Amino acid sequence: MKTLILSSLLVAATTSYASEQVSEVTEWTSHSLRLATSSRPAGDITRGKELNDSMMCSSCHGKEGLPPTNRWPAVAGQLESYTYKMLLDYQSGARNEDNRANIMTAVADLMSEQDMSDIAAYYASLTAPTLAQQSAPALVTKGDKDRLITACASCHGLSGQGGIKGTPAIAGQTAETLKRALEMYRSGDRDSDLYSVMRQASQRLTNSEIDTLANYYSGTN
Amino acid sequence: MISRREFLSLAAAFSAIAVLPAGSFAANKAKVVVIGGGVGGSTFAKYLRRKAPDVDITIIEQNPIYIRPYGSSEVLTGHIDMSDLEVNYDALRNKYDVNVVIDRAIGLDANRQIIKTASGTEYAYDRLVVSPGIELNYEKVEGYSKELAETKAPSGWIPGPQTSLLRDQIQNMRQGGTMLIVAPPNPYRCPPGPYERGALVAEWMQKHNPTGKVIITDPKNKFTAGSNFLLGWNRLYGYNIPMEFMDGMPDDVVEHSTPGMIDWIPGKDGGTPLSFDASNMSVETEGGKIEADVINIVPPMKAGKIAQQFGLTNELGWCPVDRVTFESQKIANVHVLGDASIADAMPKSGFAANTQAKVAAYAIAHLLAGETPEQNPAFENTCYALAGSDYGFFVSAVYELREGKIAKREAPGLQDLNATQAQRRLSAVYQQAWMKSFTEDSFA
Amino acid sequence: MKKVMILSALLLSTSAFADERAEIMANNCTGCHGTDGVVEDSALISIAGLNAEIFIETMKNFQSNERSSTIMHNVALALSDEEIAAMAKYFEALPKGEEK
Repeated sequence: MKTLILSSLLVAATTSYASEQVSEVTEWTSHSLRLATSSRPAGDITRGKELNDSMMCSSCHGKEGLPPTNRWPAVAGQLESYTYKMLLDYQSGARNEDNRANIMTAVADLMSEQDMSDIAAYYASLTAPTLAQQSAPALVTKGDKDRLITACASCHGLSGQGGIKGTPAIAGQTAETLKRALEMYRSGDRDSDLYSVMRQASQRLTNSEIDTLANYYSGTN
Repeated sequence: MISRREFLSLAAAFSAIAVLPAGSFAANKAKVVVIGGGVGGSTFAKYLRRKAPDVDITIIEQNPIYIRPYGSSEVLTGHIDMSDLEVNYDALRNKYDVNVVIDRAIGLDANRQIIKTASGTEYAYDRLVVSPGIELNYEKVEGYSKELAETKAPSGWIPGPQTSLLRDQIQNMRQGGTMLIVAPPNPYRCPPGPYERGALVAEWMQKHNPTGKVIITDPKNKFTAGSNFLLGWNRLYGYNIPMEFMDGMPDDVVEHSTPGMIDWIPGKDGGTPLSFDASNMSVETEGGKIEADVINIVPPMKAGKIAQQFGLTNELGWCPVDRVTFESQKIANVHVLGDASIADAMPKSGFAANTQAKVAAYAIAHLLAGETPEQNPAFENTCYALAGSDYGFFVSAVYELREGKIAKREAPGLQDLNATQAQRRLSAVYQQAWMKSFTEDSFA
Repeated sequence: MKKVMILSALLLSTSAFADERAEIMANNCTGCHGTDGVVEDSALISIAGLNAEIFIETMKNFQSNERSSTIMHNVALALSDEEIAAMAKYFEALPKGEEK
């Protein structure tokens, strides 16, 4: 009900100058993604650290890649290729799932490919959060054959380290961040995933399964 | 306990009640009537409901839909449409149980505490809140009038048909034409507004009319966030910053060898407007005559007409109030909020009206309960402004009471002139988010 | 450790601060951060339910520019320690709303 009132209230202010400038966005194919990431200039960690401050990344994601509040994702230890792809996606408007994404689009728009690579290299050089030992839910280890859900661990790893088939590290994100990501994929608002892998997987998840997975990979089980 | 609907049907059955004042469903409930459903009146009603569940709250508003003035210059460049300015009263009615009646207040009986409306209804009140916004003093500019504003040289300061007319004039202007903005004297609604408008039109011209020009003629020698604007204009539209504003400017300020797309003529350089000549589309200023293809006059302002009619205004046309309760210093049990009130250091902005309304709502909730309001309230104003769609900055201040007046706390109030490009870009993103947020806080 | 002690001292000092004044101060935030500190689908964030010590530390970091910002540096500098602590306590007690 509240959402209804809000959405009917204001069409105007939800228009964003940032999204207006985005031209036609084409979906990634494995080929185009490989091309984009293979032409990535080598990242300079020192310069990336400077950019993290001067581009205001650190305001939300922290000076050392760990966010000051649970409102924003951790980026410490994130795979270089993934950070780089996300910045490309924000810059092109491929990632524009909500009004919060306007922040990233505005900043990424100021970045060169070298800047993005430097920032990606800096984050990759930081120590990623780790998960404490815990028993993994069946969706993580086995998935669900009947519903064609692939085991999360088969791409993101049992400890959420990522790196398989271009997946991000997700270990130790806050449960809120993981939940938000899964919900945004499920609704289709977030749609820059290669071959809709996350969109398809999340569509088959119930709310409580999303909670379970978010709790597991955030380590708040 | 009988429901409202049951009571209504009972009332209909006993049709001896000829006129049923909307605020009198239960005689023992306190009644608050609000005139004006803008940001001030709506925020007040919403926050009073949150504090006082049992009070009867009625808003009398002339228009069924609120058309927000803040952000309305974005219509001129086609970034948004007129319909995007519309805000409805659904949440106030359905969620906050506020009786929003579309009618016009025409009479006040301060002794009997009754408001009369154009439809012939009478509303009794324990507390009356008047939040009428502004009236434009078209006639204060010689040769200018409401009629000319509606047909020839729109003001567009209260959004509506004049805004659409101005948009059409700008967009149909000949290549290389000039738009002249006549800025108003202080105090007026939305202090950065005329300068943001000029900047947004200049940006639009870069794409659609690259030889076009915007001139702002001004009776003032400085304006809100002036340095931020001048710097933005220098970077974006080739404006040359006057020497007296160079203090504290960053190193990248460029001295342009050709005139820029935007020009500002302050009062000391002859910018003060004297008269408007509709027949040859020109404005006579102290510095001489300026001809233009599009003339946008933002005339001097005073409190909304109803405040004047009710005798709530002083000789300058604004309403003196107690700064804790916003109760009028002219008429007891009547309060004035927002642009129409004299709030000392606070600007006449929607955000200011929003925070004033919350303070007043809490104070009136206490007064209705026979209690003393918090005597040490605090207010805030936050206004984001654009020098271009990717170039934002802001003014911000916290206000407190000092010797019975609203005073600004000592703190930096503007975006640093050395702000990074990322900060200015983000300020432009936040400008859009801020408008959405504070509209929701006021109406939803 | 020192930081923690300062923060808890600030939290304790709020007891003298009238609750309604805290609410009035907090209402000055909600124009941007949403009624009751909850804002939906916005570049601005909800602050309802934010841990009070994190709230205070964040405001201190905005004041010093340890955490870079646009408007919050100015806003934080215009508020007293006592007010920040009272607002932190007020927002911490509010329900988070739906995370999005």
